[in-house]
Amino acid sequence: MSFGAEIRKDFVLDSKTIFVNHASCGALPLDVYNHRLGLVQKMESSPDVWFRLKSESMWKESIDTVAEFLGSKPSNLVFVKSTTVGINAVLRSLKLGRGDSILISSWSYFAVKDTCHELERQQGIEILYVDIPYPLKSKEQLLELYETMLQKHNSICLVLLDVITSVPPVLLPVKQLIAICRKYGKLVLVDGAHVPGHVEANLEDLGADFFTGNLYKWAYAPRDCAVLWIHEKFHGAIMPPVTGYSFYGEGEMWKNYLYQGHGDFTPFYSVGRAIDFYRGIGGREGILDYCSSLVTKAADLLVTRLRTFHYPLPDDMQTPLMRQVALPKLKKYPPVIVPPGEVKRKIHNMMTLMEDILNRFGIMCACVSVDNRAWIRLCASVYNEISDYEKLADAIATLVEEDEEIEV
Amino acid sequence: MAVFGRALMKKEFMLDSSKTFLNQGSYGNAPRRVIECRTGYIRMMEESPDDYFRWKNEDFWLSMVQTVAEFIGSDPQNVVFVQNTTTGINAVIRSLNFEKGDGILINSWTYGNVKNICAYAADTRHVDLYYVDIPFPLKSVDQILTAYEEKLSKHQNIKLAIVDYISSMPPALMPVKEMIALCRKYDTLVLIDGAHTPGQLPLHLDQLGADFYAGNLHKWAFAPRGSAVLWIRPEFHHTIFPVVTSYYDKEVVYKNFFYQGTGDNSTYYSTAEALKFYQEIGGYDKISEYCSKLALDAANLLVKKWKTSLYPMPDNMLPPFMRLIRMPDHKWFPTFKTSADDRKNFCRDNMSLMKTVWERFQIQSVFISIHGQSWCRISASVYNEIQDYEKLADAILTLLDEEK
Repeated sequence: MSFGAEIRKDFVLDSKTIFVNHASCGALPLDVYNHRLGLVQKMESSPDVWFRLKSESMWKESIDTVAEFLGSKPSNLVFVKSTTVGINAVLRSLKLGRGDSILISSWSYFAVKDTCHELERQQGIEILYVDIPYPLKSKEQLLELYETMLQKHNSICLVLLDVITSVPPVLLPVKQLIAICRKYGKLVLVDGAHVPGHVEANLEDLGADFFTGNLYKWAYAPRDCAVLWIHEKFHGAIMPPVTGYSFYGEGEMWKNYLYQGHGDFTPFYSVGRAIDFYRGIGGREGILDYCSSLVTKAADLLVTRLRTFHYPLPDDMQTPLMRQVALPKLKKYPPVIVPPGEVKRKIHNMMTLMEDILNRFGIMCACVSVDNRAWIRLCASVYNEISDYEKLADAIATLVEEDEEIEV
Repeated sequence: MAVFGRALMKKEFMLDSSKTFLNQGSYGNAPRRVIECRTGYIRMMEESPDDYFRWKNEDFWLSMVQTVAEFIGSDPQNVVFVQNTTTGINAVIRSLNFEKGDGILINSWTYGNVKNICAYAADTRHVDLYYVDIPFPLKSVDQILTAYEEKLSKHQNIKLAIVDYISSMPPALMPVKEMIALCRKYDTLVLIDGAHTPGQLPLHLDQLGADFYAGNLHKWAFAPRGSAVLWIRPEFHHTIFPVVTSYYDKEVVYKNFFYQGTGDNSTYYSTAEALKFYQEIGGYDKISEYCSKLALDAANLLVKKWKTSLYPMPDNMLPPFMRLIRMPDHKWFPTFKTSADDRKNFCRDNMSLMKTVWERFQIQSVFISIHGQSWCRISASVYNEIQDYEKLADAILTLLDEEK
């Protein structure tokens, strides 16, 4: 399989820009894009037939496909538009209130933090954080932190765990963390936004109560396509954030998620095509074979060129397809300094820097501020090659030169 | 001046022009140019997603809200986009602070999804649900108003009333101004389910007097499916949050609704194109003139051919572009015994008949039972013409003949 520039033209991505940020928004293959538009055409040519006669079978067929892809029983799986929706569905359905706590971490995704604090406001739930140190020395250190929190706070009802965090990009020892949560009798909701297509998933063996992950990131589905896995014992309890269909027990669980008022669900029904594409280009093995070594090379290249360092992580906690590299200190683009213990707003996007790199150098990369420093969060996808990162290094080097001219 | 009818369908719509579509009311239909406009946004989003989400998204949103707000007679600050009316209504109900014993008032004609939302709220938040059973047959608007006054005065704990502007089943233009006035009299908040109104009625939401309104642009205003508005009275701007929290801003209401993850807002961004089309083919005056007359003529034709009748309601409650017609007595159109207050069986789809009429006659229409009797709901849209309803009339007569 020819990756890099060769396969780039099979994506809708604009050819004038270099993209090294697959993780944020995914990238859509032309084949899947056209397939999806074909479904829209069908929907528009005969909407009643589509919605009343075809929807249910399309949903079921697509669920079967993605269930197999993720090692899940179809009956435990529903589509949702995004991981954020899945998380909202679970947290809003569990009847938590004053006296109950939810445990998240300083590395939890911003939308997860915001959802939790919204529930804190609405329902009086306490939000507790595992404050992950910088640097994190080992997996064991992380496991200990969780153990300590769970021992200390009996009020914790549910623990929200990441498999792969977004910023910094880290592969967490999720099975071991789940085991600890089980030990203390806590519910577990797994934020697997980055899982499908990136790391192996076997949802029935995970040991969680709930899992939610995006298909539009690493599994090439169109935007607004994600799944929510719900353990059988909760099938009657977890309702989607939008109630449309009659709920609990009157009708199968999945119908609550299909009947959400009228809209365009063709992204769900395109998931089979996306998985075909994924497998067609080599599947997880083929993709990781290329991309994993590329992202490692890319990170090393930047560290060398920019004379900085990798985000300090134990080796066994590096994700396959993402890395984080320190940026040189730039007066023009200072990081956000966050006081110690401030866990809620620990992570920031560096929008101005990202905009400048895009507009001046035609490179789309994620620049973030965390742990009081500016970093680039790199991704490698099948359409990338090492020259992309060389150009990125050149761009940053230019900014550094210009920055040296700036008087403080 | 655009020509309405099948010529317009062929020219502008993606509907299969060899078939007959009499159900704009359920799912709406957007013209090809609007779908293409939407595709353009999807393409833009996929060509450079970061750029789209980080730098373009918000400007698109703000610009579209301006355009749509003007169409619905509202200050842009009061308006956010939501996927559909169901989502908008969920947002209001989930955001309002109900205390144990507070009541929500709906009625027998309230849309199915909305009934479900309220039942869920009742069960999970200890809200009391109150119900007005609208009489069948309905002789005058006053019967509804009296029933509402009775409920509101008897149950002062009713905190919120959900009032249809135009109900779905049966399709009816409700006395919305009078109902709002009654709710005000009893200090009850009013949420208008206006799913069917953008494009079917001229709207002046800032003057309507409601607290909240949700309505679809993808029904009668030709936007792509998945575009609706939620209108929120200024004093509630900091109270109403979307059902999914992605971004949490305590100060600016639209930001919470606008940023729903890296989700596809392209349907919202096509609404300007839809409204442009709406104006181009004649705007409210011409569209209303054509569709209202067609609905009236179509209903008369069907009633005459089937030897049946319209759903019994006052003339001043007939919605502009829809009608509900009684089916002939026949096993194809089942009836069953039910009482006027049997809420569970109030309204049921007749899927097998819909399927048969589609497969055999290539006609899409809605067949349902209400109060145990069999009905057909027709919509009259700009791409319909009287021959469409002649086809429907004949299709049903054919079915009747065959079973003799």
